Amino acid sequence: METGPERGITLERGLVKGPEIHSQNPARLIEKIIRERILDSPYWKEQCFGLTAATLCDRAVELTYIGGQFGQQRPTPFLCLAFKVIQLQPEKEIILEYLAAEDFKYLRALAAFYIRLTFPAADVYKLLEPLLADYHRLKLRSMNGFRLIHIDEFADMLLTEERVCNIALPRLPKRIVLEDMEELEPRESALGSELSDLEGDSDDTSEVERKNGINSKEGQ
Amino acid sequence: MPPKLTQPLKRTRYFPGKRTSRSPSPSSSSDSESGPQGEDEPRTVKTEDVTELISEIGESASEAQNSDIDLDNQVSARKQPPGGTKPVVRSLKEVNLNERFKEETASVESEDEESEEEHESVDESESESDVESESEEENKVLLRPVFVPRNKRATNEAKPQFTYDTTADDEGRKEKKKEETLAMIEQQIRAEAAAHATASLHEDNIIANAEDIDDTDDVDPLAERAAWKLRELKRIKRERDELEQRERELQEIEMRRNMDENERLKEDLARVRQQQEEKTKNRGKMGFMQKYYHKGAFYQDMDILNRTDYNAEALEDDIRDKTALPKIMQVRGDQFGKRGRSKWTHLLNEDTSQNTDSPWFRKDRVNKRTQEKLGGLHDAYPSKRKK
Repeated sequence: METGPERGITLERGLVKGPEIHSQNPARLIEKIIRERILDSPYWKEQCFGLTAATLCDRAVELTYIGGQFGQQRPTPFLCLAFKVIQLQPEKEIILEYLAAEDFKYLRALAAFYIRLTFPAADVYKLLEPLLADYHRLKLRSMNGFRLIHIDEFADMLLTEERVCNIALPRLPKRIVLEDMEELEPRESALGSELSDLEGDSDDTSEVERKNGINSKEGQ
Repeated sequence: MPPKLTQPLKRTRYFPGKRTSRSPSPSSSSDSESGPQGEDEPRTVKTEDVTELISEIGESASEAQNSDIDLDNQVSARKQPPGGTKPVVRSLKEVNLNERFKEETASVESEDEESEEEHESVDESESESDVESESEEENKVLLRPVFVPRNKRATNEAKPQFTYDTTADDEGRKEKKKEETLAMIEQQIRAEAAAHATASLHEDNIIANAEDIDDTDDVDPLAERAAWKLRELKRIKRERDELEQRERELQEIEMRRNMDENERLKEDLARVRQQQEEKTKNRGKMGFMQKYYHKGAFYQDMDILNRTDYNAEALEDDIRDKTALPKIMQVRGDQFGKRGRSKWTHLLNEDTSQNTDSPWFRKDRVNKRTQEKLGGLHDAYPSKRKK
């Protein structure tokens, strides 16, 4: 029986043995076409062979941009590493460690991406919302070229959009739905106190109501 | 600069027993002999241009062998033929072939040239080779390539003379170059700046070059924080709007549940009417003979969902104002210029009855009787009552 990170490679091209995520083989989180491109890319073949969680960390630290596909449909190293993480399926704690790495923003971005793809909905919200307060800059590479975004924008994209970095993200219920199901608290913005100051000037009654609601929640 | 030949071209054959040169030549490196070139002027053979030339060359070669003189000098040496019989041939152009032919045929008779068919094999070293090569030269009329310096060439006058800018000196040239490069660099920088400016106007701020984007943080902490605050506020506002909309929907659902059938119907109709009004108001106007063109729903972005005005021009390169065209060109599609295409616009346009000043339908004294007789235009039995 094969063990180790490459257990899935030789049998099925890229597919993984192990627990299923979202009730399917984890490798199927990424579409077949893109998966094939990743597996054929030089970065994958050179750098991503025999990676473990630790060595993957090193590679992720060397990243200089995030993105999906660029140029002639070439996958970015970010995408290759994301697929590698999916293959490795490290433990939750490791991912949380990656997410908490303040110094390496691209590692953080990678962890965030993985979380969005694999974790259950409530955890996704809980883990990605702190990223909305981080305004470090990232380079995003797309078919049009390079672009400057920030971590909070990236996190927002992960939470609201359907396709990020050319990957179709799994379905995430809306926050309201989860709030109604009592799995989540309403969002507390990092602006917090400043927000209430701003709200104090507005005349809208519904706004005031909501402000009161938020303030009471914040006070808890 | 073409290389100067200090030693003229020589045949490196060795002919033993042959007179090599007039003047005793010391052993120079490659030419131990100068075979037929060393022919003296006085020969029993008839002189022709070529052979004379060769002899002269040989002569001058022997002269020049010992000294390093310019080819110019050699040429000038050849200029004055010792015999002075015929002018030296400079190039093949000057050779008169007809003349030569005559001379050759004349010489053929006078000479014995059985052995002349032989040619130059290096191993051959016969005593007759002298005569052979001679007559052979007569036969083939080989011209020894003579180097003519550039300023003495006849052909060179046709070519354009390149003049280099010799006025500025070294320093001046350097400065000029510097200026030029600076100007170029300036222009490039300006172009880049302009590109940046336009790029920043673009919504997405997409820059093609990776080095242009700087993802180092803390370049300007205050500005970054301010930008972040703005984004965060926008996000909060977006969430609030979604909440509000949701609540409104819930409220409406509640109200509808409490209404009667009639009230619901009334409300629906009102809503429909309102929608229609909006639609007609927002609808754009079609231009004169504008083609309605739908690009199709496939391979399009989500932006097509926002389109409300389908009467806008779909094709950008279409001529917008066909009224500006001459009447003949005001046709649809590719009908212009095609056979059998008479301009038939629409019925009203082609109707000559109503609006035009057609003489048939005028109501004047001339037409009165005609109009009366035309059928179908008035009552069959008009009342003749005067009142």
